[in-house]
Amino acid sequence: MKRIASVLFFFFFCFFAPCFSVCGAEINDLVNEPVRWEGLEVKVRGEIVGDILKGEGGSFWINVSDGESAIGVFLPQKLAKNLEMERWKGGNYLVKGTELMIKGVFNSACAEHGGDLDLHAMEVRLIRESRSIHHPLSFLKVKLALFLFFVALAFFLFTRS
Amino acid sequence: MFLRPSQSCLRSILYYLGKILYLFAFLFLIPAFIALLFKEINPFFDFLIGFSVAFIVSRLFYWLGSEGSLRVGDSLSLVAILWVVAMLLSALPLYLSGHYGSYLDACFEAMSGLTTTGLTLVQDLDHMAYSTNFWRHFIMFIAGQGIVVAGILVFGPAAGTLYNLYVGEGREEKIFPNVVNTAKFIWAASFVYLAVGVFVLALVLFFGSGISFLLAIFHSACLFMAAFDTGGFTPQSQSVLYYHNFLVELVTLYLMIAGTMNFALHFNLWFKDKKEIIKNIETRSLFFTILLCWIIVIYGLMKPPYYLSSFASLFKKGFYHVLSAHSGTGYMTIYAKQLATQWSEAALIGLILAMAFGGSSCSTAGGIKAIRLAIFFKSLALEVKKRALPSSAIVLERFHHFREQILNEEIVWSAFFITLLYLLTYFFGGLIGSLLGYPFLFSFFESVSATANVGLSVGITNPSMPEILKVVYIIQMLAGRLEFISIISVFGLFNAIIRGK
Repeated sequence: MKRIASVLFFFFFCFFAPCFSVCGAEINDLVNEPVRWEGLEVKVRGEIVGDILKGEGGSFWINVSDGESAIGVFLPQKLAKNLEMERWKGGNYLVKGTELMIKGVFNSACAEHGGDLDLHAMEVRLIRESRSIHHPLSFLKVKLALFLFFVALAFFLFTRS
Repeated sequence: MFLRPSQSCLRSILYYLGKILYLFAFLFLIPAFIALLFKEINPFFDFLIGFSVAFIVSRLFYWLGSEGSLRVGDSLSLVAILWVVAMLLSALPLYLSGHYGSYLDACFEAMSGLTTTGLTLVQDLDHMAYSTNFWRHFIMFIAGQGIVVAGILVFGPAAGTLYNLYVGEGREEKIFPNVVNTAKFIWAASFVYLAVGVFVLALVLFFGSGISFLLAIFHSACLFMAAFDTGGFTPQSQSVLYYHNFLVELVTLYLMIAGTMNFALHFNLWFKDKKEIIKNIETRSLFFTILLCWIIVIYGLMKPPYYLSSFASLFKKGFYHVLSAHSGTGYMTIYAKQLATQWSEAALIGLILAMAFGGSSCSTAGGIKAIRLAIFFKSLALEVKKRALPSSAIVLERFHHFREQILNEEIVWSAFFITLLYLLTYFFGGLIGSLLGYPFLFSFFESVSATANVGLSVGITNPSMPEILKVVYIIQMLAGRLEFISIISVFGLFNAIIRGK
């Protein structure tokens, strides 16, 4: 009897444990396999990209990217007011955005937001502050650009007549 | 027997090619200015390189060529060559930005932009320089109205004989008897919509989403250019979903409808008869096919897998994507993989039909076009009437397209011929994708999207797709945008050069 119970417990653990735990996931997996993650509590890590957007009634939206895919994260008013959002910065050409760890519920078609694929955040933890991205000046590009510019100018003067 | 084109003929082609590219070269200076505004130094030099190369190429053509008259076939060939050269030049700053895996990828992006398709091979778009991102959208705006249309406007007085070039860009209708005035109206209407569209979108983004003023202007300009020109690029990787704002969806819906309407209809609505929108067979056809596709998509979304739980979201998602597909825009509020995994086959077929049908003629939309579909059904009705009535009866079929017209064989044949070419190209691209290992429905979807210049994707279009498929889609995008005739002419020209006597 004990043996049967332990086997049953083992199977129960294998099949149903994911339903009761928070699954660590890549954003790319959520976006590419939405059916698999539907309605699950997931934990994702990524960089804020673009702007921090105002939502309705004091809520906010951020878009978080893992480098391959980005997902919209809904921050309800209750959660947002406890976050130090003024410290956050979205990534762009000159900035590597703030990195966050987000725990939330994944919806492939959120009933609250018109069927959009999103993540409703429950917990947000700051992993790394934003930092500027340095783009060193490419001297090869500068030389090439100036050379071609003067060639164009010379050619224009030569062919003007 | 083919007649080899004369030296003077080839020199005329080079002359006009150089003249229009001369104007195109100066367009590189606009994103160069934006690069300085956003302190993007490397992209500034990318655009300076682009400008210089385009300037040298245009002057070289201009210098080698000489002014002269062009035959119809040569004019059409010139347009196709112009678009290929424009693609190669536009791709230069894109490639130098480092966001593309190869020059072919940059060319794909450039062709997708120029033809207002919207399929993209960009990598890490969210960290792209604002100026480079602007360039992706700006080429949509310029080429959406037509590179030649822009050329005609600038070189107006000398362009009186350039009607064939205008036709070569997939446009037939003249709003005014004079093609220069037609070009002027197309650009004037576009600038009016630009001002209004950017203003409204900037208000929505600034007040509604809290985006800073300068960035709200940037986003709204990009969104406008891609929506009105039925292009489909967006400044961020998540398409319109990035904004999480229903008002943005509404405004882009309006712009997509405006973009898919015939410029002659805009003219009528502004200055002549407002009832034209109801009377015109093209608008009626468009309304009917949008409704049909919407019903099919909603039916498809109600079949397994049932992923949209509420009716409101079902109608909203269904309508947005049908209109996005039908207008040839390609904006999405879902992810490409969702189309592949969560939309039923019936819903995908609804979208394929919407993409294949396309928008109005003399608009920025692609596809078979509403007027051709209307002519197709009118000719069917005519055949039925002919068979029902005695053989001695004279049967006429009329239709209203800005004026009362009688359906004749020439109109029917022309509509059938172009429709057939579209259908063959849709199938050909689908077959190639299928031979490369993709499921036929998905490869057919992507092929129709490329040919009809839509930009919706089920995920096949990505940087790791086979190179051959990238080339096939580039050809499809160009052929669809120029409505095949120019492509056929350029093959004819090369054949005549090689085999002619």
